[in-house]
Order: sequence, then C-alpha cells, then structure tokens
Amino acid sequence: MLVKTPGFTAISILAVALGIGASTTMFSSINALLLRPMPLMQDQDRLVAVSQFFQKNADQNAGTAFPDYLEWKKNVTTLDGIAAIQEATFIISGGDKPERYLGGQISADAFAFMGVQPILGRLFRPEEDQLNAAPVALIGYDIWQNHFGGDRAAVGQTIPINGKQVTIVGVMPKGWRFPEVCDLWMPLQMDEKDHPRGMFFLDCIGKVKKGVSIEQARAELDAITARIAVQYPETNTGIGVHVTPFREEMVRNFKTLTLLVMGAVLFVHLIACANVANLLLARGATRAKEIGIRLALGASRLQIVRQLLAESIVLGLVGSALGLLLAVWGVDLMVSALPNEVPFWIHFDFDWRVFSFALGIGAVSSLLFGLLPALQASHPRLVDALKEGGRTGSGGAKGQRVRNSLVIAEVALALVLLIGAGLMMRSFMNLQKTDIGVDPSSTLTFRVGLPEAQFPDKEAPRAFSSSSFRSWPISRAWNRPVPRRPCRLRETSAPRPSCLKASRNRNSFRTPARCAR
Amino acid sequence: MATETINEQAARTPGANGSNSLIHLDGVTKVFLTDEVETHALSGIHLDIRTGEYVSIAGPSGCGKSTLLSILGLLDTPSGGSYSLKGTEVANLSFPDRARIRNREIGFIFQSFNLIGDLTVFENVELPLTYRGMGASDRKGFVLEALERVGMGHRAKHLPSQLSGGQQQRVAVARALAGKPAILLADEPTGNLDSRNGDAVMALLKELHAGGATICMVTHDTRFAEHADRTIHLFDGRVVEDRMAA
Repeated sequence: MLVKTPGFTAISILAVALGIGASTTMFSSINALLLRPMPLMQDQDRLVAVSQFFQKNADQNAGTAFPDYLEWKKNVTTLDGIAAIQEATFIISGGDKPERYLGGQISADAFAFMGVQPILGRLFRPEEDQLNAAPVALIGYDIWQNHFGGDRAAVGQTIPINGKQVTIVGVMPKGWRFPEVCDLWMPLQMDEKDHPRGMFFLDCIGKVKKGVSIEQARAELDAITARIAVQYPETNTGIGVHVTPFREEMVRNFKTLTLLVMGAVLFVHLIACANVANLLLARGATRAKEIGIRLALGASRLQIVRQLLAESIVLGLVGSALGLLLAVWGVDLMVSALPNEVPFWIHFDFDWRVFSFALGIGAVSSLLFGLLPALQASHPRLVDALKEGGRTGSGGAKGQRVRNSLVIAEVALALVLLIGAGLMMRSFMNLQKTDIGVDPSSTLTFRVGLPEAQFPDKEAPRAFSSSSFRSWPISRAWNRPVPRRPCRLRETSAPRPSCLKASRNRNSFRTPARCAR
Repeated sequence: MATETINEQAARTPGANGSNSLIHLDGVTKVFLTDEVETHALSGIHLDIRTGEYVSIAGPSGCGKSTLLSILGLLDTPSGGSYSLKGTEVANLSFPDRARIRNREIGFIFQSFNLIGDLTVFENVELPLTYRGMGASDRKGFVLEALERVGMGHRAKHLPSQLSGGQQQRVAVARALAGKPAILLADEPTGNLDSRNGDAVMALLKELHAGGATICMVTHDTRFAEHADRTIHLFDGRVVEDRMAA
C-alpha cells in the first residue's frame, strides 16, 4: 500500500528520517561521552580522578600538590595505584625545524596500572620518576609515524626534547593520547623544592582495588588529606579531596549540556512523529472504504491494526535507515563544528549502540505515530463506509478530536522548545556581556616554550616576555599565571579566559596579549 | 397492504419451525438517533430463511431493505428483537465474534462491487480466506475454484480497474463464494450494471442457487426480484408481503 502512495510515503519517511537523524546524531555524542568504553584502558570502571579542592569552592577541583600526591601514594591502601600527570609542551629539535607537541609528565607506573602497554619498547621504570634519573620518553604512534617514519629503531634513539637529550624507551599504541591529546610522555621527575606544598597543579588518576568501592577509597583519601591538613595547616587548612569516577570527571562540563540538547532533539522528533501521525490519520480517513471492506469480509480489528501498524513500522524502519545516513552527515557536521581537538577517548564512530538506538527509536516512533491512527482507522462506521460514495472522510467528530489533540501537542512541544531556546539564548547573551577583566575582541593567547637547557634561569619566562614583546604591536602582555580552571578540551588560539590552563612548567608559559589599536 | 399478517406471515413462512431454518429474526427493530430525533428504520421484523432458499427483499427506497441486510450480514446490530443464525443468537455478539461469523458464514455481494483497487483479482478473492487463517496452498485452491465458477479464472492476475463492471461483480461474487459461506447476501447486485451485465449476474446467482447456495438479495427492481423463489416486500420498516414464487 505504501508503494502505491509514493507522495505520502516519501513525505512521511522524510519527516521520520529527519527526526531520527537528529536524534541519532545527538545520541552518538552521548554514546561517545558517556557509554562507549574508553579505548585501551583496562577495568575502566575502577579508574578514579582524584583532586584536591578548596572547601570554600567545593564544586571545583583545584588540582593536587606534588607533596600531597606523594603522601597519598605512600599511604593509600584502597587503590592499586595512583598517578599524577602534568601536561606540558615538548619541543623536539634536531631536525630541519623544531616540532612542538603537547605531552605530559606522568608518574612512571601510570600506564602500567591502567593496563596499557607500548607497541614497541617498554613503559617507564619506577626509578625513572626520580629527579636525577636519565631522561627518557614514551612517544605516541603519530610521532613515531611522522617523525621517525614508523622505524622500529626509533626505540633506543636519543633525541633533543626541550633542549635535553632524551632516550625514547617505547612507542604507545595508535590512538593512545592520555589524558586527552598528548603525544609524548616523560616521567614526572619532580621534587618538593620546586613544587612545594600549597601549589595545586597536578591531575591525579587512581585505580580502585578490586572489591573496594569508590566510597571506601574516598573515605581513606579523605582521612589522609585531613591528616596532611593537621600536619601542614598553613598550606592545607580547608583543603579536601574529590574522588570521582574517571569518566564522570572527564565529561563533567559537557554531560548536562549534551543531555539537554538530546532532550531538545527528542522534542523535535516528537513533533515529526505528531506530523506523521496526522498524515496517517488523514490517509486512514481516505482508506475508510478499504478498511470497511476488509472488516466486512471478516478481518478483526486486531488484524486491521496489525496491518496498519506494519505499514507504520516499515515507515519507521526505512526512516531509521535514512536517519542513520543523515546522522553520518550530522556527526561529520558536528565534529567539524567543534572548535577544539577532542580527547583521544571520544569517538563518534557508529557502533552497535548507535545502530540499536536508531533501530529502537524507529520502532518506538512507529508505535508513536502509527498506533493512534491505526486504532482510529479500525473503527469506521461499517455500513457508511461500504455504501457507494459512502463517507470516506474525516472519521467523524472523534477523528477530528484526535487530530486537534495532535495539533495541540505539536504546538505545546514547539512552545517548550521555543522557551528553552529563548532561555539558552538569553543565558548566552548574558555570558557574552560578563566582564572577564579584558576585552576579548582584542586579546590573543599563545604559548611559548622555553627549553630549560637554553633558559635555565627561573626568571627566564618573565625576562623573555618583557624583552621579546617590546617590539610587537601589543599594548600590554601578561605572563602571570592565570587561575586554574578545569578544561577538558584543548584550548585554541581563540581567547577563552574561563578555560585557560596556567602552565606552571617553568619552561613554558601562556600569555594573553592585548593588541595595539 | 395490511400488517396484521406479520405474525401470521412469520408462522406460515416456509421453514419457520422447520429444522433447516438458517436465519430467524424475531421482532427485530432498528432505531437511528440523529440530533435527538428517532428514526425507526425497522419495526418488528419477523423472518425465517431456510437453507437453500433464494429470497429477495424488495421495496421502495428508504423502506429499510439495506438496513435489514446490514443486520442480517452482522454489519450492524439491531436495536431490539432477536436474530439467530444457524440456531445461534447473534444479535448482541461482540465485534470480534461478529467478524468471525461474517468471515465464515456470510458472503457479501455489494452494489458497488467493493473490490480493493490495489489488490489483484486473486488477492481480492483470497482476502476472506486470509482472515480465516487458512494456509496459502488451501487458499489458492479455494480462490481458483471460486474464480472458475464465475468464469473469471483467466483474469486472476488483473487489477479490478482492468475489468468491466460486470466482470468486477463476478469477481465480487467469487469472493463471496470462496469461503463457502452459509448464505450469500447481495445488496442491489445489479445496481451499477447495464442491463446486459445485470442479467448475466442474475443468471449467475440463479445458477449458484441451483447449485445449492442460499441467497438473500436486496433489490428495488421488481424484474430482478422475481428471479428469487421468495420475495419479501418491505414498507416503512415492516414486512408487508412475503410471497413464494409461483
């Protein structure tokens, strides 16, 4: 029957496909952020993010002080391991031109307890965490391919990184860029002298022991943190510890927004379903005679409903297939619209969850838009329907009421969406008006790496900035540390002060600069 | 014509008390309520139809013929009275039960053929058998047999739109016959046909009756009504004459 009404079929499928396409696109985000297992890591449900916080600002992580991390590492019994990482800029020189990579200084045992092994070479050894240990590095797959041409002999080579000769000890698997978009890792190699208590800058990750709950680990770390606060009240009074599932911490800033957008998209899909239901109701009215004939010949209402629902399910499934195709395009569009490089563990690829979602929402939608019209159509006034030129129209007052209800539902859904969109727009405009202390329209940010070997003086960054930028058309430059805020996506050159991550690596600094007018 | 004879007519109706009574109506009424105005379409119909009879129901337009046929065909329910089909009271059955009985016991022939335009001749004839839950191979046998009986076996793959009116009505007859129902109900079966095709359909019905089919036909055309063995005249919702053919 659907083939014989191509116009109706095409419009219905298109409406369903648009709704399912948008929903599936958003679901692929939810899948990537919340559902899909992170690549390569073992026992991910036992991984936790650990961070200190100021009790007066308890909803924000402050980072972790290096000495406090050492105390945790020494005393904690509920964790299989706890590691610290500090993202840093690494410049590989020695070639035609220096190459700059984002990397991390990370505890030597971190990758081991996460269950990630190198594809070549070895992981760090515990002693390589010591300050005076020989400098070694693990490189990411992309560096191995691009810088070394995939040569297996890269392992064991010594290359200049940040002006030091560093030995490459291993190559990490393809796609591994922990914690977000790092390509190179070196051992932590810190001391308490340069990184004293009260300087909260490390990101920590732990792995809860099998059979131990996150609450138990949190309680233990709470107790250790409290003891530290008693011992070092000058620096640690009012300092607490957050222990959260690693994934939850990574998506903290995006989860609510993503779910909100998903909700809005589902509303749009519901409107599409209501439209298709209206089309089906209208079509059911034109089929009153046919349905009357079928009923007269002995079809039960169940058989009629089943037949009409089967047609709706075909519409829903074809709509799902087309919606999936639209979602492929939608995901590409969404990814291309993202301003930043996304963390390595976020993959928008379609997997069985996305396919199941598209199929499921297609089936549920079929019932949503098909059931009411099918029930309505299965109750024609038989005698009237069978008469020559008999009533084949609206299905009477009841049918009219159903159609009116659908229109009211559509308007209500659209109104909710409109109000939501208006509120979001207003919040966005308010945010735009927020005084952030600088005029963002004329502010640039950039990162400069000053290798320690060339700039051993701790004052080097300040001296560099004051001397180097003098000749630039800049009205003012700052290299003062910017307050640390959680920022899970890599920042770009666009000024986003709320998301700036201050680098306390003395070998590199970030600087906002005001353009001269 | 006097109505005093209704009970007497019912009493003297052939087979009224006989063992082969197929349909028995007792005081059936039908009242339509439109804008709080009651219209009495049928007022106390008493009627018996025996197996193998060929009955025509005649009368002027608006006398209640089609309403009576709708009730006989379980397409509508009476407002009062009782209706038994093959000895079973069916006046107040649920919709699914009525659908089941329609499917198994009643074959419909409509004035406007009521074939489904998107289905082939074969599929149209097959439809009631499909709803009966019959297997595909059995259905095929029944359908081809019915089509052969009406001389339409060679048009099985055609769509109704590719047939003439007379041919479409033949297909409708085949559909009514296919499930081997207890009774064929024909509502003005020649109403949409020219006289030649009308005669042909009447001849077909006669032939089916000769083969043992029970037929109840509504017509306003006295010429066609006389094809039946028995003619019942309705007027203002009442049976005013129940006459056997000479």
